Amino acid sequence: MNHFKSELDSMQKNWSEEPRELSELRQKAFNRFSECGFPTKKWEDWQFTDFSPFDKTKFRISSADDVKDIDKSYTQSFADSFSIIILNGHYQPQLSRVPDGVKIQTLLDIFIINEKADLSYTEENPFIALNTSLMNCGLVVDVADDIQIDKPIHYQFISTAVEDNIMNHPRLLIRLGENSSTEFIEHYTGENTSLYWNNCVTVCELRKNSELHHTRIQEDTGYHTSNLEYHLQNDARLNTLFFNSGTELYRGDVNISINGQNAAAELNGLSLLKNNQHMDMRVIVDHAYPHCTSNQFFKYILDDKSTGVFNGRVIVQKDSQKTNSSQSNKNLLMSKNASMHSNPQLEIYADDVSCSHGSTTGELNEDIIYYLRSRGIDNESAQKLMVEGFAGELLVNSKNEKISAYLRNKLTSWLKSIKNG
Amino acid sequence: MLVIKNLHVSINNKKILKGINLTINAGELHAIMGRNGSGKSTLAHVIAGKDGYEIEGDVLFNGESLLDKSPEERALAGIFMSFQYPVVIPGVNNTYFLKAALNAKLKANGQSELDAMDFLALIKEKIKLVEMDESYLNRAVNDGFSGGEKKRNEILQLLTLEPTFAILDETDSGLDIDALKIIANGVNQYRNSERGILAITHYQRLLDHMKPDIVHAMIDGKIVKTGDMSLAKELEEKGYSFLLYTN
Repeated sequence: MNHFKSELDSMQKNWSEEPRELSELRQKAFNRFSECGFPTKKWEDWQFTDFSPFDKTKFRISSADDVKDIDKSYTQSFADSFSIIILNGHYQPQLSRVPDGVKIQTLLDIFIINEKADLSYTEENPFIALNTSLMNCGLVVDVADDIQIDKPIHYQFISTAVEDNIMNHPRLLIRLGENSSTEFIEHYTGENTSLYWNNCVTVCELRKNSELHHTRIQEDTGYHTSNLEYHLQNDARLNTLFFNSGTELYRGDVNISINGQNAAAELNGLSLLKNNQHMDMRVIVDHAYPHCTSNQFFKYILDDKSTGVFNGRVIVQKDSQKTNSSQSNKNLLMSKNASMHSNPQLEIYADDVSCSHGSTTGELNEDIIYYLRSRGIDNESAQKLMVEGFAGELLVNSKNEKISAYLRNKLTSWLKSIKNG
Repeated sequence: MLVIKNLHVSINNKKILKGINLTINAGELHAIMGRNGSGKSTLAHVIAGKDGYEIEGDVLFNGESLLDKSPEERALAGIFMSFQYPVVIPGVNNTYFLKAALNAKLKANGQSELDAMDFLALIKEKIKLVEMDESYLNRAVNDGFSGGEKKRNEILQLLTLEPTFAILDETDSGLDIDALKIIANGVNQYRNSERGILAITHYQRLLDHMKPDIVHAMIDGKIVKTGDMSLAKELEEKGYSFLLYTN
């Protein structure tokens, strides 16, 4: 804990030009973080994850010196896309390109010009508090009203080529204007010889009748924690795909606030785990307005001794009549030693709603393997075909064929990398 | 082509097959008729290579024992089984699956594999033979298919993979008369002087369309009577119980 305090102190010393308000916000958030500390087994929504590793390694905040020439393969964007490049926690405007109608600002810009931007958080979540306190990379992406962006914006957060244990606390705020539509790919990638940690907070505001396709590809090889918040106004449409693979230790929180009528949220997630990897997701959808839809479809594929956690909660408030909501969590265990904790929950306070939830965890179906083998397909290929089929149901939900092809390739190489695949 | 020698099969020490002897030559269609639980499907699965059986005796295919071979090795050697209960494979596209199966066979035979375009052209021809709509090609294997559609999909695989020996495990069960004709038609298209077929069924009606060369009656894990089409008719008229007294 003291270690984080000294990081904050040296940050404030180095960044003495920061506005006083920001400095105060950091201090306030840090106090909140020190009060609660990292979650323990006694915290109900956090009990399946051991958070002590975050405190054990002395991570330092990445500095401007950590920006180096990097392997060009990392900065390659998806074909036909705009790009925002962040290198070891530092925004690289010279490598970035955004379409007309989209404005990029750093959080510092916003504080300096004192534009109204709500960056404060009251939730008792130590990772949000720590992010607010040590926020070292803040970007605001504003999409103007009535703009339809036809190509995706590929935000790449690259962590590489640093020998120390570095940490980043990126804050990303995406604001969609009324009647606008955007496809945003939030992509974490990179390999370091030393353990690194990205503790992210991403907030997406979908104004009236806006549409966001949000693909979040998390391929960090270090630790990763994320808090994603979505606020949906009237007629807003959200479609997400969360892909997690590679990280040793992951905790992801997703909060969807439906704050207007006729809004719809489609949430898809695929997590691939092997070795001793641990991935923990908690998804909360809060229906505060009537006539809205939310569908969740989360899958985990687990090999070796990996462990997965899925906590999902759908809350339907008293006046949210005609809510249509489903929640599904399906998990595939590729090894006897892998385990999964799944806990989908519904809290319904309205009476005229249609809600469903379900969870299944199982191994590869032997009858299907036998069937495939009886057609001349060998055991290994049969398993691969089944796993690809299991995951493929999610990947077809991606709007963008290039992204689903990219993710299918990732899945194929992941399958090659596991011993029995 | 297929020779079964004194085959005894148990599951968890329960005897299912009690000494089956059967020889099926190229060009022949044999039918095995029997009641539920007589061991017909076990026989089919033992030939196809399912796990979990204790086996004595031997099953030879073109002179070589099948029993130590994996299901895929048997398939690549030319054995095919149409399943009584075809499985649903979520998320796996029917065309993709069929292409993977055919290419596994072509590869094993040292032939060049088909690319997506060539395969599509082939499968569109084959699917006409079982009178299925092309839309079934783009769906997950058997996902949401009716009983009859699943069976037609099995015959589509038979016609696409062109094995040398086919086992039809109750391919007629759950079919209406029109579907039955389509299935029988598909099998008759497949049938030729170089291929052997073993059809397992409860009823004579499929056999009316397929005209078997030899009919066997199976009771309690044994073949109790062998004859021609007239045996099938007799079984249909008198029921299986008459065999208990004639044997």
